[in-house]
Amino acid sequence: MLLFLLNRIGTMLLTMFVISMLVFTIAEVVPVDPARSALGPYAAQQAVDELRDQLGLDRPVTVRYADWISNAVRGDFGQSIHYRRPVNELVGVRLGRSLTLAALAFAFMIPLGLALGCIAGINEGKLPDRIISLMSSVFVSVPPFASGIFLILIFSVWLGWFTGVSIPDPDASFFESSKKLILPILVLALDEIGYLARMTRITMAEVMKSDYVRTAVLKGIPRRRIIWRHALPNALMAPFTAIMLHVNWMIGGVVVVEVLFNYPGLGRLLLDAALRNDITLLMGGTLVLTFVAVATQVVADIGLYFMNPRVRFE
Amino acid sequence: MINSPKAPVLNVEALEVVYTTRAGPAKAVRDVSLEIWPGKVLGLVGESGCGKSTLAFAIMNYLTDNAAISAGRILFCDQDIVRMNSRELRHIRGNEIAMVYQDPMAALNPSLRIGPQLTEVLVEHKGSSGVEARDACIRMLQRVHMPDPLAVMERYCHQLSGGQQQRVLIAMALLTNPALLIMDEPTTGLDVTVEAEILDLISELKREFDTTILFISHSLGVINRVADQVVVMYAGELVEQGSAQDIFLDPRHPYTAALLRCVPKISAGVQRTTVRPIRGKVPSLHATPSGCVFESRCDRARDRCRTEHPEIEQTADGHWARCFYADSPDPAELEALRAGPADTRVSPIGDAPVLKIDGLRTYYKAKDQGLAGIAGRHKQGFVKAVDNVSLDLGRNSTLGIVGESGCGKTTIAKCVAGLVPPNAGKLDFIGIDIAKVVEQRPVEMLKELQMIFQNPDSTLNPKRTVGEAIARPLQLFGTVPQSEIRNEVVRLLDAVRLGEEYYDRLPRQLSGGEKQRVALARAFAGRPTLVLCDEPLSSLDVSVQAAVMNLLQEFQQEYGTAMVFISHDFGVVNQLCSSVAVMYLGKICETGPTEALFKPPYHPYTGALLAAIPIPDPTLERNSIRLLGTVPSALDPPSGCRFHTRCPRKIGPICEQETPPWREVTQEHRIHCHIPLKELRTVDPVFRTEQ
Amino acid sequence: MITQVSTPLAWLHWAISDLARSKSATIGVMIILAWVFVAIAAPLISPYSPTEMHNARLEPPSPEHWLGTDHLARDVLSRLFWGTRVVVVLAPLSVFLGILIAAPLGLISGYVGGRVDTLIMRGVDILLSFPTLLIYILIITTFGPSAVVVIISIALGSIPPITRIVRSLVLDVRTKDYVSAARLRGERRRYILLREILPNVSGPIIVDTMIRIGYAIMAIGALGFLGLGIPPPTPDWGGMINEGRQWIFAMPWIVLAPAAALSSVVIGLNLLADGIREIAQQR
Repeated sequence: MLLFLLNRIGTMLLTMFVISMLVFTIAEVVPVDPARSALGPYAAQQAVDELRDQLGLDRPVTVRYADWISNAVRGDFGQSIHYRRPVNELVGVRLGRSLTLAALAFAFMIPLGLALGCIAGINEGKLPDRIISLMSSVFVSVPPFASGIFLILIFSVWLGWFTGVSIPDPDASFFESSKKLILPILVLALDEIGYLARMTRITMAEVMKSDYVRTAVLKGIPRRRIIWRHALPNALMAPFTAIMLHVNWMIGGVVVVEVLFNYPGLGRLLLDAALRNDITLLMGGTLVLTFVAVATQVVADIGLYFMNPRVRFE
Repeated sequence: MINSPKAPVLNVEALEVVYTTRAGPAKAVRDVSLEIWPGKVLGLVGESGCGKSTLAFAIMNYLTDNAAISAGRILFCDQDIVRMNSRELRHIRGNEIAMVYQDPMAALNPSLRIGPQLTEVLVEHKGSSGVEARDACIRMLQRVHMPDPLAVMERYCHQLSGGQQQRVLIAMALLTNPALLIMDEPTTGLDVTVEAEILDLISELKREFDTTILFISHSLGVINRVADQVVVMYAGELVEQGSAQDIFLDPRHPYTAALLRCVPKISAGVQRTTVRPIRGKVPSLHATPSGCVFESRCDRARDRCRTEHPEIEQTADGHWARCFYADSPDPAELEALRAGPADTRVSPIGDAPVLKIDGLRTYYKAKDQGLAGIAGRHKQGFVKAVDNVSLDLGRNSTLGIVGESGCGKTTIAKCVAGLVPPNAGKLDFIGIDIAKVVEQRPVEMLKELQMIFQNPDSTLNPKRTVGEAIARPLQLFGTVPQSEIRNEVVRLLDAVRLGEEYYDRLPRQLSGGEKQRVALARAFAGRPTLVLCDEPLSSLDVSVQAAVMNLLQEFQQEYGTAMVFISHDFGVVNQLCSSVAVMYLGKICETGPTEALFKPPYHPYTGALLAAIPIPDPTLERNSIRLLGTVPSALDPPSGCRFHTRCPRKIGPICEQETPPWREVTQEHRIHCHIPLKELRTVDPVFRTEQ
Repeated sequence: MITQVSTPLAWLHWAISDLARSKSATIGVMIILAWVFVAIAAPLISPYSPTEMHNARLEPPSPEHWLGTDHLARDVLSRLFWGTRVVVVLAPLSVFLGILIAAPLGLISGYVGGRVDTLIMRGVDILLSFPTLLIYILIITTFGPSAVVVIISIALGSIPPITRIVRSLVLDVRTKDYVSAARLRGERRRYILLREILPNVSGPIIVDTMIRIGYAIMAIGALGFLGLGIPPPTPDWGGMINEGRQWIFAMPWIVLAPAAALSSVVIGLNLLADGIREIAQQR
């Protein structure tokens, strides 16, 4: 078991190491001079050279990588070229907001997706299944920026219930600020609900046809108990794993939703950094976001390990 | 529960079950009537697809969505199960009628401990409290001879062996003391020795608790072991019914007689009979023939059988058969059944061995754990699948390798074939060193060594036609000129009794038996010197098995091919092999000519295996030797003699400490045991009716 | 019933009659074919040039402009039709490029096993734990937005998952006895990979390809939406949504049309994938 934990954490470190190299390499190739872009096109060449020297841009690649990574490990990603502020400060605030959004979306979609999938799986081939299957097919197929447009049109333009933007206002009441988050959460969740419901439907339908559910039925156990006690624990493992490993896909959704609703999260910060060629910010933000993604997967993996008796006792 | 012992527990009347399929309705069970009497075991026997399991689940009123009971009644204590609502059904299921299934691993919930799975039956049906239920379950586990029942209650099913899982299911079924126990192939898939233990348990339950059982099996031998009354099903119909004695010694329906003739016999040791396969195929359930269902395959069939459907009627000797000519059986048929010795085995030519295996060892790496495994950090475990095995095989002879699952017999075949590299030892094949994987062997010898595999569903490439599959080796090996290939394929197809019309078929259009025939034609196409057969018959029905077995012998005779035949079935081995090696946990414990194996002296393990084989002969008396415990892990095999942990004749510490010597009975017959030969000879024979 | 697949025409016939058996496959194929038609016939059926600027900006739908005009007074319907080309060409191209690299990797990784397998799968696992959209953003920032860069970045993003699927399929087929039989006949490794294994893993790969093209379409749309897609003035659905977003309250049709179009293509692909799976199961 200790071996398992060490293995997972080792894998995580290896992954982060490789990714940091990739990020650094890409930043190296970018045909942008950070010093030049920081000072603007009209700055004197001498000033640019001075800044390059100050930033240590003329040192060998390996030295700069070692420097960058050792600082990054300590939480120092340097200064943002555009904002002229430490990257970790910028990223920290934004990451909190993005995580709030993602966590709320998770809290909303996991129970709903699992429930819909289970209902469909139990009633395989019947009307509830057909309705849910059709719905989830559509949810899976509509990309978040499109579903966002549809929801804004329905709820903001047509019904006028929510606003189309979600800039957090520190003075607003809790109710007001959570109301602003409803549409973004819905958009994020819809996409994953479809995916989750489809997965759960398949495993649930399979479990309902399994020999051990047959055993339970022929033992004379009531249907309710069969579903809750015999079927669900076996059916939910796979979809739960899948959704945890789907975190990467969801990060894409978070970026899109933040842009769509003007929500100042990490995703939008990174996109802006990319559009403005703010390389230090992009590198630092990417590394942090990837770390969050990888760590989530590892935590989920370890959690599942303890949930599943079959793996635990091997 | 049972009001009077005069009334049957269950009464099935003219039952009909229909499946709705894409090809139209299929009647899986037709006009089946039967009674099950209290305290009796009714054995239901038939080949796959004959409707036995459908009948069993129909009795529970538990059918798949596309199946329905379209006619008939199932009376249980004067109540019709067919018409019960879900509440009444729930009361009956698990309480009045309980069931034990094939594949016990799948029948137990993988994420629940055994305890709650057992106790919930009592909580549900008897309203017991948790503590009461738990005590009752532990007592029941003791009754089914489960070792350490307290600990078992806390385990998950994957922590139990197959035999233990089945014991749990039997205990679960008996908890409420049901009026009827339905057992659907409860021993299929278990090793013979485990099967024998479970069958012993069932006999004991029958004796001590007077349990009424409907016992379903495809194996005539197993049915003979447990049943009082026997019912034979064919293509959804009941064709014969009677006492076990009647059915096995004096079958009146031609199907029953034919089925019995398909079983290779090992009764009375050395005696041998020809197996006679049943020609043709089971008729499609979609189109019921207007006449007798067996007419197309029956040797006795006359005009009347084609047009008129026979009813099940009492025969002169008092049992029941669905045949117009039940009382005038073919004397030749009966005689064939009563076994005239006929040696069909091909006898070896010359002394020069085709294959010499010397000190073969094959270890598998135990699964390593990711990163640590790659870094080589932790100790590597090895499964000693084959450990120091030496064997010889002469030209045109057949060597059988028998043993329980996991004993390493398949690994030997894979090593010889070159699919798995050996770790140590010499492999010499017609003078060529083949102790390496197939890719490194000289190209010229490849055609001399071919293999037939166990699973018919994976033996043929699903995207290739039958013709292409057989033509490929001909082309590759240049067995016949390019222009002759098609003719040769057709000739081979004819030889395996398939015919040219199969040339363009795809594997998914073939039955399991047909696939194995194609595999056989493919293996023999290049006229190899040696063919390795890895349990090619084990997934086939007995009648199909008999046909493929005969084909193997024909081919062997025609080409003078030597064979290594891996099997767990002593009957088949007896039929096909000139010599046999018995394996246990990666080692050979006995090897010798086939005849020598069935009478003492033999290795204690051979004796136990022989005693465990279910044989469809009620007159046969056998010594019952049972093995203790379960097979130890090959990752860490026992010291000394590997069999000592389960040996019924262990003589002392020497068995635990020293590797046993080889004791030579004759030059060919050798036993790997500490017990002196003299003592081995005096042991009580397994088959008491010596000829 | 003997299926003899001898000529491409017969194969097509079988494919069509197979697909017709599944309702979702039929609908999916129809949706996809409709959009492919639009893409091919865009010059013929579009009322105007997609880049031509008319007199009025942000005009509501009218007989002249069925879907109105955008902020640069361009005809939205024409832009929608021409925008189909980006989706219909770029998405499959990037996925096929991905398969071209990933399929051999997966085949080799699965069949050869050992160290090669460990190495490839480690790499795949690492790339898989990297959020896909970030890969796109990084690559496009580095090389600047253009059709080629979009294709390459989406192809790169699809390599790890395809490799993994192909490998798992190969691992399953590799243990089949017909592969052992081929080895015993002394077939070359290339023959075994291409003739024995590949045909038996192609079915699930085709289904996966459908779904993956859907993902690619979504990714192209998302990149356009984020301003990282095909540079203007080329009509591109994602870009149209991005540009029209600020007028969503007043002129919803500008964004509604491309959003609906994009969703319908992906729905069509997913329906087709579901249908193929359904048909395969029936067999």
